[in-house]
Amino acid sequence: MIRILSPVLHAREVGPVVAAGAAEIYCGVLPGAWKKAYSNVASLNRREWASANMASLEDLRDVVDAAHALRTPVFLTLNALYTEAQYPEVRRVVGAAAECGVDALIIADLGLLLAARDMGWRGALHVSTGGTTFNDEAIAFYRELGADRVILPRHNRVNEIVAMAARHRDIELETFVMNSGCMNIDGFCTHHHGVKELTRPLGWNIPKMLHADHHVLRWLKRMPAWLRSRASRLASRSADSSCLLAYDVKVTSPTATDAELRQVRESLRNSFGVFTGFDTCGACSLWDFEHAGITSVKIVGRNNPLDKKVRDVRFLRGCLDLLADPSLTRDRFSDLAREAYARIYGFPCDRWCYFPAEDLALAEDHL
Amino acid sequence: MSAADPYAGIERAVAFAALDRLRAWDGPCDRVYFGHEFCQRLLPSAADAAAAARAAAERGRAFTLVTPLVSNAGLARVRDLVPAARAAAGAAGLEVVVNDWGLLHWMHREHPGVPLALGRLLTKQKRGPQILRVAARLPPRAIEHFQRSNVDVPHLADRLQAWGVRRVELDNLLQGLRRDHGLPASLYHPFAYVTTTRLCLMAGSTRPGKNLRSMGPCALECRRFEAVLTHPDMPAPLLLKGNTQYIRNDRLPDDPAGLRITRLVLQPEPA
Repeated sequence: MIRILSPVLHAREVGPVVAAGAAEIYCGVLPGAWKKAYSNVASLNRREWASANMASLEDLRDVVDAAHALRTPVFLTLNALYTEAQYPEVRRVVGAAAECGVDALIIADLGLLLAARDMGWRGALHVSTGGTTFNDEAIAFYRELGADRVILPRHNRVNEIVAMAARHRDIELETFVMNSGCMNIDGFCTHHHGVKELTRPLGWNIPKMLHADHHVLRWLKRMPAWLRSRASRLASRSADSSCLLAYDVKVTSPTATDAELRQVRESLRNSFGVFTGFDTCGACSLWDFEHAGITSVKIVGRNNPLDKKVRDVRFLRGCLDLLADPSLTRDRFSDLAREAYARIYGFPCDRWCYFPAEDLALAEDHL
Repeated sequence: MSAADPYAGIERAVAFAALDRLRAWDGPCDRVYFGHEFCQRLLPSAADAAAAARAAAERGRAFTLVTPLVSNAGLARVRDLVPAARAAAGAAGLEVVVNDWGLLHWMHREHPGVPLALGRLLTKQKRGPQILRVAARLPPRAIEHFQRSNVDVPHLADRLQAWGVRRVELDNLLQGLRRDHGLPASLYHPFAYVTTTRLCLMAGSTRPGKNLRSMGPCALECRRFEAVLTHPDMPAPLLLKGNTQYIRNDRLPDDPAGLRITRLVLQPEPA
């Protein structure tokens, strides 16, 4: 059965998410010394906000102790990209993670993947979504470099994931399933994040600590689509990430009509806003992932409030329990998953999917 | 070029995504780049790749086949492209830009004699313009970090070389570049890529009701439309062409030799 991988931000979150059904947990740390030397913008991992990271390696030890007491493995995100001067500090963090008993490192940088064993790391190595694995050869590449698990980027489609899983039984594969459906490919996106934490520290951190973004998104989910787009652009005034800004869009074409230009402009304008990248769900695809032998599904959102984390795990756990019935068809499973979503979250999923069903029908040329 | 031009003597390449653009080019260049870095839907046919390689050879120019990130479907297409381009490139030989670790793995195994250039998707640089908003607030070590790439870490550069990588493809960062060692580099100008996606915003944008989370349908709208994205929080406009955002930076570094830049790659337009 697929395992559910849940984020945590504090040791006190471990018990509730495990009780809800998480079989694995992951977390990140942004130590003070690193932050002082490089700032949050050049974070130690791919979350550039204080609100998504533990502040010390002692906090990490507490998480590991709490998780191991529940026989649950802990994975540490070390999935930034590191330049040469950073290696001594990265080595220190890897050593501390080993000493804490962290079970796996989540790594995006090929340099760190190559160096981890020389740093004394004996635990498992997971290739992050930042490793940009989109084909069989890439999986084989990472397996030869010693990876124990490959996390498949969000931008793989279900049929691609299923096909790769069928050919790679000798390595663990993980996919995304909830939240933060980045529109851009994580491992190829070179926009800076965490900028507002530097430019407006209070104006950014206080709403974050109060989970204001989470509450805004819940309201957006309840809105009709026509209103949501406008509200999403309005809310994006407070956005940090470049992909969520409400851009002014100017479209040009040497051949298009005015009507075509207006349509493309409107389509692009609606593509940018705080809603576009958040709260996606891939639960309907659990049926495919379970039958394909995927090892684990990841919930994104280290900085989500605990009740959201628990709800996400409980929702997925309920969906996976349905799969105990071998006669359940994919379509019936999708119906039941959507019903469960509406029941648990209080609003319909609105088919804001990680893996839209329509992509299953796309010809290979379109993938 | 004047004798004082720091770029005098550096190899000049011009990048094309379509055969008609390549054939129409009458400017100077030593090498032709042909193909696409960001979208496998825009990969040339084997016939076009061979024609491009022949056109380059006929004008005495070296030839580089450019490849994108690939799914298994895209990888299958590249498997046909490489032999065709290799045969057509003739004595001058073929170079391949790889933007996918799986493709690098396959090239090293199946075509170990073909020199590889590690593409911009794999040479990790932070290219976003927002660096300009925070540069004054960043510690010096952070600025230096953002001027560098992870591919210059010596043990990684050594391994890349063992896999057949002969050069790295770099963007001309707004925050400047810093390199002391590493493989020889190509520098792209004037467009630096910032981000890319398989959920192309242009694909299907001519019809109402586009599903932002879907990869299709694509009618190659990218060949007809371009967009400029501006926002008060974004210090430079973003150019959206197809599935990729770019910035423009016309100011080249003053000391290419010190940065180990041995090739300049001109992009007449974003790909």
